[in-house]
Amino acid sequence: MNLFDRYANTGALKAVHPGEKVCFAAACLLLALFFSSNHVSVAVFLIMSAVLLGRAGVPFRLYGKLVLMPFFFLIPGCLAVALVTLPAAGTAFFVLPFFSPAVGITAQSLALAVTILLRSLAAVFCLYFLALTTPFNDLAWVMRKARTPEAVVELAALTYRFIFVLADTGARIYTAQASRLGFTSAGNAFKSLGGLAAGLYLWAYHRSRLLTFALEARCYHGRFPVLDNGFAPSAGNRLAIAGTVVLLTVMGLVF
Amino acid sequence: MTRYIIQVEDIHYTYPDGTGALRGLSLSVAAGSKTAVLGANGSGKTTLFLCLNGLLKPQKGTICFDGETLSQKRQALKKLRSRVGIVFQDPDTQLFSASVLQEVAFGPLNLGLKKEEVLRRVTRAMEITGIAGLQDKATHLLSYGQKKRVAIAGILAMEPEVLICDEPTAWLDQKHADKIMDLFCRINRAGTTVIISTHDPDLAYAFADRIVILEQGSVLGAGGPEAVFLDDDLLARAGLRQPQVLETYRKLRAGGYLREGFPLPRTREELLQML
Ligand SMILES: Nc1ncnc2c1ncn2[C@@H]1O[C@H](COP(=O)(O)OP(=O)(O)OP(=O)(O)O)[C@@H](O)[C@H]1O
Ligand SMILES: [Mg+2]
Repeated sequence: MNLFDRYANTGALKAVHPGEKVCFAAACLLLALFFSSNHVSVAVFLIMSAVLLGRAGVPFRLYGKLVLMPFFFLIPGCLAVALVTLPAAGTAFFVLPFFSPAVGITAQSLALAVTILLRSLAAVFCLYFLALTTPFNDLAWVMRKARTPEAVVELAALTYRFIFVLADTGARIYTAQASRLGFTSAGNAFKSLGGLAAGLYLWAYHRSRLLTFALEARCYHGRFPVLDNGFAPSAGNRLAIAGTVVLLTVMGLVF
Repeated sequence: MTRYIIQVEDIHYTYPDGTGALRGLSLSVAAGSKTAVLGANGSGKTTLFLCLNGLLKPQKGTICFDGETLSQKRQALKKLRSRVGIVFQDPDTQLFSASVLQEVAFGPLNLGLKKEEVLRRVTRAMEITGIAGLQDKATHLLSYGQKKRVAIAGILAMEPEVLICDEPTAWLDQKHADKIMDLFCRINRAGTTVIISTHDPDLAYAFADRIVILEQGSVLGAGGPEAVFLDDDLLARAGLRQPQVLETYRKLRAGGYLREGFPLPRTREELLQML
């Protein structure tokens, strides 16, 4: 979480107009979901990877982790799709032993699983792009420009802040426990975890109250103000976005 | 006649868990003055400050700001908070924006100022607190002393009439502590009323023109720095030591080492001149 935020705030694409970044991510996401074609999904994945590595300055190590992360939920999810009860033996090229009726993978179910896998990967990468290049404040700015109701923007902003409060509180308690040997054996690790869970709730609640104080003390009145950084729209970026959309649409229609 | 910007009359505040943090506290702060609030841990300094900003509502007693009784109406509170700025004791509870620039701009933007004016104030506040080089940094990655200075800048940029700072120099290195206290003296000369809390008698003595000593939620003693810090009895009851400058001065003077014709020294430099 902090990691994403750090890149968004310091990355090379921070100065790019947030409207363009949101359009780019949203267009790619929608096309990938709409066409549900392997070619389009792979294309989106490659385009996003190229932009993240090439222009956003994401290091290879982080990129590697980003690719691996979604597989934690994709592999179990896709396995569940790929494994089907077989109508008749012989149609499957892989059959699980000891099941009756027989359970296995058919060419069809495998193809479906691959399609879902690629489509999810493409979608995740569109969101990675947004999270790694656009600070939340800029996103809020776009939401406002797009006439999102103020209550929704505020809710998103507060949720975002409180996630940090929660994560930060958890990290602090963990460090405090670890420095006093709280995780040296399985036994005390369990005890420490219990303390962490209890303390996390108390402290996070307390800190969220203090955060309300901090907001109110500086005249907050239900609207997160954003310093308009004077983003310059760029013709080059718009052209690139349009080009990507056309390319993906053509791919989607042809294949 | 002195104009009192803040008048607190017999306020009581009890936290929801039953702790009586303020018990019958009364206090007046003259406009344009420099007040230092001293008191042991848990004596109620922070609680008092939160009340002065309308963040906590005393169960009993009144607080007047500039002659008007504090009301809990939204508009009145907003006006109060635009005139009274408070820097929290712990910067971790004050900072919440992603970047330093956004953090410092939060208050001024809430005041509804124009963008140019906001930028002018933000730039100036960051310069005088020495954090201009950090403006794009994420606030949660700063060192503690840096966070404290960002918190101060965030309030300075709102240009309040009364600046309340809870332990301004805790966590700061000597150089930045001196700088911050200089800064407070400067904005005080420009007309801002400054209230600080501290545990350091030396700092209070050098800075303030009025000292308030709290104990267990009420005022144990208050007055000019000379009067308070020469009152051995009061200091003993408050468990405070005499400021070093004053203590040395008294010893030297008793021994006849000092030249006559100077006022009571407030700083080391003033004392050294008298030798
Ligand atoms: N949120 C809270 N809930 C319950 N009790 C509290 C709360 N905050 C403070 N207290 C209690 O109120 C009393 C006054 O606390 P306060 O923070 O005002 O002291 P302080 O003078 O600022 O101390 P320090 O010098 O340590 O900052 C203390 O006894 C403290 O335990
Ligand atoms: Mg305190």
